[in-house]
Amino acid sequence: MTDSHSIPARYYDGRTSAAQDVVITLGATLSIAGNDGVPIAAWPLDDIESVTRDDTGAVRIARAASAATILCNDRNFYRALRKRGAGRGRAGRGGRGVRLAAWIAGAAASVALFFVFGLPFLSERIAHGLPEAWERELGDSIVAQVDGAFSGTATRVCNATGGQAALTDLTGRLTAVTPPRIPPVVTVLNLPMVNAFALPGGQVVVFRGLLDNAEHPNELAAVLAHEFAHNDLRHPVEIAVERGAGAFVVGLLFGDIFGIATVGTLVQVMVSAGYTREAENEADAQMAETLRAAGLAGPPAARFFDRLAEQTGEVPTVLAWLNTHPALAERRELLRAIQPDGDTALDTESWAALKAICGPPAAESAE
Amino acid sequence: MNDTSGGEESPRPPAVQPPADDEAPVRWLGRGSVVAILLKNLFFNILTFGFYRFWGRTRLRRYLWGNVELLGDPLIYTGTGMEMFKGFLFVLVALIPLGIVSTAIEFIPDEELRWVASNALGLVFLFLFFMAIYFARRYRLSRTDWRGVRFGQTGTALGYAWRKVLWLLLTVLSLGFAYPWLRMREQRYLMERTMLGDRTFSFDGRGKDLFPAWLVVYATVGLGYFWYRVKQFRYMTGQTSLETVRLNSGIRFWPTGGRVMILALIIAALFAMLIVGFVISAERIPVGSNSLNVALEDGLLVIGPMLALFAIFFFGQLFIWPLIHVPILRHVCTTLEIENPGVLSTLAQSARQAPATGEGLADAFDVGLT
Repeated sequence: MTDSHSIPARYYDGRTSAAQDVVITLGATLSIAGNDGVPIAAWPLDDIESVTRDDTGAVRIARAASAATILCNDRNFYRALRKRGAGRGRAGRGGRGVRLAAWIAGAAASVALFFVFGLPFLSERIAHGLPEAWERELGDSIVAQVDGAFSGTATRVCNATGGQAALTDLTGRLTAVTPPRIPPVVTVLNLPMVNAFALPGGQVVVFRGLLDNAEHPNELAAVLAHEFAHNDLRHPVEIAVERGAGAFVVGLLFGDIFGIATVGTLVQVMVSAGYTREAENEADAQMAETLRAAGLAGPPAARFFDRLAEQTGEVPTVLAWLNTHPALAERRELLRAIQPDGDTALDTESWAALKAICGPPAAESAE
Repeated sequence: MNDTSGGEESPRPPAVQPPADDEAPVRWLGRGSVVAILLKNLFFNILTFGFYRFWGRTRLRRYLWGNVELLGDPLIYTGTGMEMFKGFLFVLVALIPLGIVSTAIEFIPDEELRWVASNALGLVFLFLFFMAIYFARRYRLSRTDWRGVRFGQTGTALGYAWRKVLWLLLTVLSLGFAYPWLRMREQRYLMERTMLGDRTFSFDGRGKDLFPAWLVVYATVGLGYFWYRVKQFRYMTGQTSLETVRLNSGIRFWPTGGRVMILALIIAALFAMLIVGFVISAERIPVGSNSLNVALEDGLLVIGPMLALFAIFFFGQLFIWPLIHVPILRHVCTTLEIENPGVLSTLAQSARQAPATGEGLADAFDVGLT
C-alpha cells in the first residue's frame, strides 16, 4: 500500500516527549501526516538540517527551524532524501569534509612544528637557564642511580690511586686547551660494557669495558674530549627535557588507542635520533679541535672506532637513521685527519695505571 | 524478539500507547554488528595513527544508543566526531604547560621541595581526572535524545572534583570501609543533577543498605567485588526515580559480574606474563642513549613485549565487545522495570542549552571505555 516515497515513521515534535506514529511522503516537500490521514506538517527540503543513518539502520531526519525529528527505518527513503539534496544543513556535506580536512591539516602542522622547532627550542632555553648547581645535583643523582642500578648496594666506582692520577692528568690536559663550562668529573664504573656517556653537570661515566677495549691512550682522549664537548654544549640537559616533554605530548596526541604509549616510545626513539645526530656532529667537531689544540695524534684514536665497526658491523643506512649515532666512518675519517705526527696522551706507566684503575681483572673494585 | 543480530530493517510496530506495565519497557534491539564497526574503526585508526578515534567512538556510540529502545522509541546519540576532535585540540593546548611543569619539577635539586612540588602537581592531575569524568558524563547525557527530548546534567566539574577527592581521601582513611556510604553520596550528587527534559532525577540510596554486601568483598579477599558490583547496581537502580517514575533492575550475576570477572582474571594473567618478559629483556639494554654505540637489536628487545601488549589491547576489543559488553547491556535492558512509565510521555524539552564540547579532557586522561 505504500510506495517507496511514502512510509511509516515516528514523529517527535521536539517540545515534549509525546511521540506519534505518522506517515511521511517525499514530494516537493517532506509531508507528515497522522495514521488517520490528517496532515501534521510539511517540511521544505531546504529546511532539513540532517539526514543520518546509523549502523542499526535507523534513519533520523532533523529539521533546522524547530527541534522536531523523524525516525524511520527505510533505506530507500534515506537514499531518495539524500539524492534530493536534503540534509545539507548549514555547511553541507562537501563543506563539512573540507573543514574537517583543514582542521586535521592544521593540527598535524602544529604537531610537526612543535616537534621540529618548538621542543628543541624549549629544551635549549631551559637548558641554558638552568642554574649550574641544579645541573650538578641532577648529574650526581643520575650517576648514583646508574651505579646502583647495576649492582644493588655495593658501589662499582673504580678509583685505584695510580689510575685516578692518570685520569686527572688526562682530563687536565684536555680541559687546559678547551676550558669547560662546568669542571668535568669522570667516573669509571666497573662494568663490562664498552660504553661511555655524558650526564648533566659535567659528569662523564666510563665503563671498565671501554678501558679494557682501548689499546692506545689517544683513543680514551678522543672519547673523553667527545663527552666533555656534549657537556659544554649542554646536550645531556636538553635531551632530558626533550624526552620528558616530548613523551608527554606524544601520549596526549595518540590518546589511549594503543593501550600503552608504545607508539610514543617509538616516536621518541625516532625523534631523539634526529636531535642527537646534530649534537653528535657538534661534539665531534669540538673533540677534533681539542685534540688538535692539545697536540695529540688523531689516527691512533681512529683505531678504536675501526675496531668498533668490525665488532658491531656498520649499521646499514636505513637503520642508521634510527640509530642515535652518525656512521662510524665519518668519525674515523675526522680523526685520521688530525696531525698524524702528534703526541700520545699518556706515557706508558700512566696508561698502564689507568687501565688497572678497577684493580686486577678478576677482583672487585676497591673503595 | 530481543536478539535480531543482522542489518535488516524490521517494520516498526505502530504503537501510539506505551506498552503495558507488564511488558518489557526497555528492549535491546540487536541490530547491526558491533564487530563490523570495531573492525572499521581499527582499520581507520591504524591509517590515521589514532586520530580517527573520535569518529570511531561516535559511530560505536550511535550503534549502542540506537539499540536501546525505551517504551517503543530508541535512544539517539547526537554527538559528532568533530565536536570530540575540537575538544581534544582545546585540551591539548591547555595541557602542554602542565607537561612542561611536570618535566621542570624533575630538575629541582632540593629533595624535599621536589617531593612537595611533584605531589602538588599530582593533586592537580587528580582534580583534572575527576573533572574529565564529569565533563564526559555531561557531554554524553546532553547528546542523548529520546523522543526528541534531551538528557542533561547541571552542576559544575569543580564541584564534583573536589567532592571526589574528599570521598577518595575518606575511603582511604577508613581502609575502604566507608566506601558504600561515599558511593551513595556520589550517586545522589550526580543523579540529583541529571535531567531528562525538564524533570530532574532523584536518588534515595543509603550506604548502610549495602554495607553487609561490601563486607563480603573483604571476606573474599577481593574476589567478591564483582558480585558486589551487581548488588550495588541493582540497589542503586531501585533507588533512582524521575518524579513518580520508579526504576527497578533485576540483573543477575551471570552474564554481568560473572563475565567481567573472567575478563579481569585473564587480563591479570597476561600482565603477569608481560612483566616477566619486560624484566628479562630490560637487563639487556645498555645504559645511556647518547652513548657511543646503541645497537638496534637491543632496542627491539624492549619494543617486542610492548608490541605484544599493544596488540592484545588493540585486538582484544574485537572479542570483549561482542562477548562481554553487548551481552551485559542487553541483559541490563531486558531486566529493567519501570513503574508509572506513562509520565515519560509528558516531559517537556529542557530549556537549557546543551554544552558545546566536553570530552577533550576525558580523552587525554583515557576516561571511559566507549
